[in-house]
Amino acid sequence: MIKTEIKKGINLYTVRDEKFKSLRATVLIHRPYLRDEVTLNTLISAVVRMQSKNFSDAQKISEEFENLYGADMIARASKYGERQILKIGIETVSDRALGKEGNFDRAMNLLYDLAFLSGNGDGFSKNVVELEKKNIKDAILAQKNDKRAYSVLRLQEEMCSSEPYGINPMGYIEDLEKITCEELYAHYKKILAESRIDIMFSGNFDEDKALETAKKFAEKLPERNGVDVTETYKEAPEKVKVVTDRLDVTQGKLCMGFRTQKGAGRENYPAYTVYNCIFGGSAVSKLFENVREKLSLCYYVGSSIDRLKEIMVVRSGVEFDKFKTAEDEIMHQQSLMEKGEFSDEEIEFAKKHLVTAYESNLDSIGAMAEYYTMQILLGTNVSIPEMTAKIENVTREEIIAAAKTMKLDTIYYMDKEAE
Amino acid sequence: MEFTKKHYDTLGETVYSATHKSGLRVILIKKEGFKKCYATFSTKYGSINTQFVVPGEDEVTSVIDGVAHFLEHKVFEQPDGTNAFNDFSKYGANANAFTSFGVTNYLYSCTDYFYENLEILLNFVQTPYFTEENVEKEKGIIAQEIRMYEDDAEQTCMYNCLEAMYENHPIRINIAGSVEEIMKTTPELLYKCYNTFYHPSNMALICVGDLDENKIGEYVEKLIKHDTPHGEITQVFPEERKEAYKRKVEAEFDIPMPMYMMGFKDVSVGGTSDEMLKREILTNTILRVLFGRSSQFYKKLYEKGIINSTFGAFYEYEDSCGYAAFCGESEHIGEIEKEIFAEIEKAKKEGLDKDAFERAKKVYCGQFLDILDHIESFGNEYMMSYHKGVNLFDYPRICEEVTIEDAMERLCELFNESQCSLSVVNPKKN
Repeated sequence: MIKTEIKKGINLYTVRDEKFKSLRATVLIHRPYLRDEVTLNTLISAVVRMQSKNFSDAQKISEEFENLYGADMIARASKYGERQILKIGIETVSDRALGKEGNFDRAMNLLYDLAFLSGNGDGFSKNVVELEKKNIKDAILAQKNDKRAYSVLRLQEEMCSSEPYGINPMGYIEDLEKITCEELYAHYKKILAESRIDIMFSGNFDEDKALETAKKFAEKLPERNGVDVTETYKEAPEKVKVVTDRLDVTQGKLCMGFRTQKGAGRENYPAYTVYNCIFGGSAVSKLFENVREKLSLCYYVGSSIDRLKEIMVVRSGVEFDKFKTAEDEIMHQQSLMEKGEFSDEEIEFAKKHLVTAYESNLDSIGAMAEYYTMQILLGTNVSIPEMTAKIENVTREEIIAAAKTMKLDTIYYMDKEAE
Repeated sequence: MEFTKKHYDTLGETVYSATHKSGLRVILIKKEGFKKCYATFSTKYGSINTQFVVPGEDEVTSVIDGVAHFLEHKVFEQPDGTNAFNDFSKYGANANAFTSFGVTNYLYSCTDYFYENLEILLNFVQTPYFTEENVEKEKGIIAQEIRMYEDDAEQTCMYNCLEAMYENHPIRINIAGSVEEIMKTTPELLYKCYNTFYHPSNMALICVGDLDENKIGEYVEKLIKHDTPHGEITQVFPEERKEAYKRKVEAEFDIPMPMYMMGFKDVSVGGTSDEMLKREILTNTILRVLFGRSSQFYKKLYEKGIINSTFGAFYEYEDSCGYAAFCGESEHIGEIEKEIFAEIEKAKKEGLDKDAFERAKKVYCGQFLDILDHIESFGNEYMMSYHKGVNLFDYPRICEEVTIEDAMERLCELFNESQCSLSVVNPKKN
């Protein structure tokens, strides 16, 4: 990935690969994850799709995307650790693949409009804001529909109830209702003026044209310091927190949150990711083999580590009367990891699995963009080959050391309604 | 094995294809410069194949629901008790499988050791091992999987719509079956279906990546166990009238907002590759022009708050059935239904917007170029099309050829109220 500073607080990042037929250009606006702005940012990510200076309504914007050979719009406020990144972008076919010029320039004009000239010239239209408020309210309520994802969300809310990480990624209905269109526009102008902004290109594009585009985008923007975010760190409590929700479900959900150690997602990540893969990160992991295959307890069970927040979540779908059995087996497998009771073969498998996964990122514009976005957030520039080399070098001792730092913090049960 | 090479100039893609003496079709879509490689070994056997005539027999065999999916789970289990997933792990491959309405697919992707993984793939799929014990154990896992789907309002909404449109066709049945039905599965039943459908002449090996077709051919010659093709398996589908079976069906779930799927049952199914592609492209074009994000319909209903960004439309088909559907979440489903019919009637009278039609063609051109960059997605799309009898590489050509008159004909053929079923899932009343 190549980084070029355009002006203070505004950078260009490019990851070029000619084998692709398309390219993706994204504007990343960095915001801290805070209760008093999370809902505003979510609303902005919805409103930017709806009107801009040169494309006055959603229909005109859609027509323009169609004219760009079915280009895709990216507009979302994503949670990364304890940061909210507002992403506005376009993915479109390259001029080279089309065999003619013009599509790139036209796409960049549209992107500039959507990201930097959103609104009707001097504000957001009231009807657009009110409509999107309703849609986001519905989306927040709909979080409950996907029980699998909802169970993880609830675990995060409970485990990190006094930390920014526990904030709902989309925001809060009570906050949403109070937002006025003037307040929203003022916030939009503020974040464009003050936030750290990165412009990222990935795929098949011309480096010179990308630089030209980034300079044009930054031309009317002031320099800025941006806000540096470091995730809050907390130790696991003495007593494990247990939370139960009772919902109308036919399958129970079990989620377990573990605290790790500072550095687990950063300098020590290669060891932690190998640990996670052996423990619960693949279809041959200890959790999959034992909790699912041997004991037939569930259809899905897995673990994952949030690199920025440095916590691990185990999640599973289990019959209600099997919660304790599954929980005990999961803890038993974790204790085996601490004792070093995993084979050299398991280590080899995990490393190969991870190397394949990382190398595969090189073949997908989206995956590459995600990988490098994480690098930007970590403040590092580890290339994919460098990452795979680090993984290859992880030792058994490092894996055991990682396992020993896992401390159970919170257990979440999604149980059926009381009879 | 002799491979035929075909180069698609405008797309910049090259395809190698051959047929093994067993009848297995072998295809390589060569992707120079890509690290990832993908292989799919698939059979034209899905959840809808519950009635068939085994080659050499006279009687129709009828089986319980969910067998294709059950088989998919069991095929991974090896005679020595290990799971084929473990073998793939040795070489860092990401393996998986899925069962759809029309196919069962065993696949892996990797960035190294492609041929070692290919050997594992060809071996394990050709090594069935079903016992009383391992079948019993799988029942527990699949029952959990079915329970997970039962909690899914969206899945329920879709299957209710299919049940409403189709009186008899097995597309109305959940791919995994039901807990009661799968409990009846036996090793004998699994072997019967395996021996019928998992013959190479009913299968295809499709590889995507920077690979050598001759080396793939060598592995096929070495590892495929059959020497001659099977006879053809006769698929039996029950009679299905043109009209939708039920007009409306409702259910309740613990969800915050009602959801819906409004389906239109296709009366025109099967045919040649070109015919099926044309039907698919025309249907998608109509859906985009009349109901897509740049349409008047979308603008009007979105601004009124009747639809939101969950609104979408799509067309799905197998070679024996097909349907178009609208779906989403809304408090105003009655209104949406009414407006959809109004839009259809208006288009039938006044025609389709020419500019929108041309823009739709541009979109499909761009989307097709884009999917070529996604090795696994393209591999899967190509495989699914292959088993339906469709050559996906003809997609851009047919896109160019279709006319607005063709689209009008298609509009009148598919989008009629008599062919329509509406499935609604409402929030539970407290």
